[in-house]
Amino acid sequence: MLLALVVGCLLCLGTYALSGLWPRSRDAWLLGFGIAAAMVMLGVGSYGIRRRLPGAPLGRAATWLKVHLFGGVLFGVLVLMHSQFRFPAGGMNRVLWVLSLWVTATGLIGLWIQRWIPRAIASGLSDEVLYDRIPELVRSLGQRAETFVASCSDPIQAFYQTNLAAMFAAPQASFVYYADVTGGRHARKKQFEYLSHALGGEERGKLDRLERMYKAKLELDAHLSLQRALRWWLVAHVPFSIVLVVLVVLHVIFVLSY
Amino acid sequence: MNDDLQEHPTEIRRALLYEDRWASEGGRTGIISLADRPTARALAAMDLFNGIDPPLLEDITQDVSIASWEAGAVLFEEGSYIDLAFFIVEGEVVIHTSQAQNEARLGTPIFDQALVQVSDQAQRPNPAVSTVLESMIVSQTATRAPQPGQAPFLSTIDVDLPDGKAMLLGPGEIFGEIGALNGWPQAVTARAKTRCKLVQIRVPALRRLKDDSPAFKKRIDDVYRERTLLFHLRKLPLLSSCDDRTIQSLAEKVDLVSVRPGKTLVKEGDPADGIYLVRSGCLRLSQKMADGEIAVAYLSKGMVLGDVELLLVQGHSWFSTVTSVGYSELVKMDSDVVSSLLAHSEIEKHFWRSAVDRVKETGYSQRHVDYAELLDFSLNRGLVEGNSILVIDLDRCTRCDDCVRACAETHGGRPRFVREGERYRSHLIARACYHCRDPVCLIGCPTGAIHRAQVGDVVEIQEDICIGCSQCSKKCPYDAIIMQPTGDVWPEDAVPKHLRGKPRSVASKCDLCHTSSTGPACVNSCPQGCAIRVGTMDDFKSMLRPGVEVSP
Repeated sequence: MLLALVVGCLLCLGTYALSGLWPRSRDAWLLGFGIAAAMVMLGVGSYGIRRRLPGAPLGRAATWLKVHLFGGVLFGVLVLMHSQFRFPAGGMNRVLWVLSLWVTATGLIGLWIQRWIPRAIASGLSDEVLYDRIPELVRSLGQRAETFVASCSDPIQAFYQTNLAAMFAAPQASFVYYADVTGGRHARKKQFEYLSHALGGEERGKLDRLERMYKAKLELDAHLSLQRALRWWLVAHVPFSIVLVVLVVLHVIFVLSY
Repeated sequence: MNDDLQEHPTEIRRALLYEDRWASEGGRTGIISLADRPTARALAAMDLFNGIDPPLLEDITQDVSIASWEAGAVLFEEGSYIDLAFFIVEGEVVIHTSQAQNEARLGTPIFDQALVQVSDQAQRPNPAVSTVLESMIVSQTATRAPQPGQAPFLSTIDVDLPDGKAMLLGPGEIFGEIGALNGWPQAVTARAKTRCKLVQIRVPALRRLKDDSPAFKKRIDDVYRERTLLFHLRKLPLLSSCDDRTIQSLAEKVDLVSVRPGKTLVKEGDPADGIYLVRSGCLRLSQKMADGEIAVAYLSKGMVLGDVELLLVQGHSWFSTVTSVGYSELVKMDSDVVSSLLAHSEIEKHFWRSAVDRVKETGYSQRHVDYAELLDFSLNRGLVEGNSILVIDLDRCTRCDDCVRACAETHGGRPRFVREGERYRSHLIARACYHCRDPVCLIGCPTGAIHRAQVGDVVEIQEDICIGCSQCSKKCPYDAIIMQPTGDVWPEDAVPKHLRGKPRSVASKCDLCHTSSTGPACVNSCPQGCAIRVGTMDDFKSMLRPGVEVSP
């Protein structure tokens, strides 16, 4: 995939370099790059339509995504060639140029996020959780923890109120999970260890159980944080892509009209 | 009513016949009177239960009923899965096959149900469901080679009918038990010839009786020997070079063995005393490693145990410990019987092939502990039962839920699976139908709404005749069948009557999108290509090795 991408970009850049050998035809070349960029953009954008027609006999979505990724990078390169690798003049052109690079860049960042986060979740978290169910699961876990703690001794109840109650109350997304998918579990265990030494056998068992609940909550928060990133990067990509398509259509109309 | 029934296709006839099929009285079932939970004393008075301890009889009464059936009533139909056996107290029952199907099946010397279906499919193409997927599945199944160590054995036929294609059964006869105990579809249709009084024994009671009463086990085994064993042995490729007299003499010498879940059949190192052919069930083969033991292979329906020991192991001691995962039924041939068979060069070759495959697999497990772990996981979670299991590679899954949305889109807004389930390392075994080789969900469906589609191994539910009894959902060991409310209520003329006016729900499960030209929507719509369908242990093995593509 990487090789095909490199070859594609080299071909475009080679063509661009050759276009400089015939200065009089340079405008035609630049126009050609612009037309190619617009065509590639429409092809790349049709992936969004494919996603909304899951049952239609349009081929495998995985193939569409590959085309979307290759095409997206190619689009970025073609736009740069169309603008002669310069920041263009004119308000509309500048907006188009910035938007094109923004959409390409956010797409590449999204690709990186989609490669990194699934691996982090699969390797660091023990259970698979549906994103939409996280609030419900946290609520249920919180209720179980409350009920359980009520049956524990005073030191555990006090420990729970001081250190854990707020955490069990609601889902808590945090950037910590991007650095350490476990949320610093090992470091956080220390607080349990100290109390554990002070408790008798039965209460120590209860504290262990509370610790397991705490671990489950950390996992839910990790899922929330990481899966949110998998969803939210699209906010930086899709709306701008739609605006870009509209502006490119207007750009083409203006060029053809004037 | 019978004239009407003749005009309707099978599923509709089943729906018309339904009114708690074997468990309530009514004109539609053909049951005139029914006595649930007969007393132990009443049972003891019957020939079938002679000599059985009263406490055991007391225990099984909840799974026994006595019914009077009217003449002409259909007790069950060919192809249906039932979870009870019938013992005739009074009257006569005729069992028969439909001739066309009978010929198709009798001519197919195979045991694998999928292959039987392909054979049927090939002979009765259904133009209405001619799709890309169908042809794909059929071609895949038709070319599927037996798994390592798998000697095709035992067809789904549980009655070897004489040439007349019908058999009359009278008082003292038992029928339906082979299909019920093995989870096979019934090979025949059973119809009451005269008014009959029948004892209906459900599978839990059948198993208790088989386990705890040697006399009852002998009786059931004798029926199997009389009606089926000879037929099965004749169709066994292993014995294809033997003449009929040899096979008849062999049939007299084999033992029938039943093993409960978790019970050890043979122990590694103990003297090997014969070979076993698996009739039904699943068994784990494990070997010692350090202070513990690891799973090295498994046996399922049609496979042979003992070939390695017979041919390769010095002193004929068992190579592995063999433990039954579920209820297993086996045919045992003693060493001296097998030794005489080895005089046939074809049989010897067959044993060698199967033994070499087993040794290869065992050696692979010993060298690759991760495969042994996978085997254990697969056996414990029933993955070895599945024909098409939805597996999601979590290393690549972006949790976009396009697979779930595509499933819902394809099935009227209701997804047929949940993207949750067991995890094996970084692979998620989604809660979707496995399309099992022996689908227990089919057993006891009162209307036949859940059935094998005529495409590959697909199990589907015909929603318009599903009455929402949730039998299949409760039986599915993998929680893959979901009861979904339809938003309607049952009409005032609904049968059975107790449903009238109540909210309607239907059982819902993956049907592999078998009527769609694009194949399973979940796989087709996954942008990362991380949702795949897995059917064999080799597929799972490929998944564990990076860089090996697994075809969906």
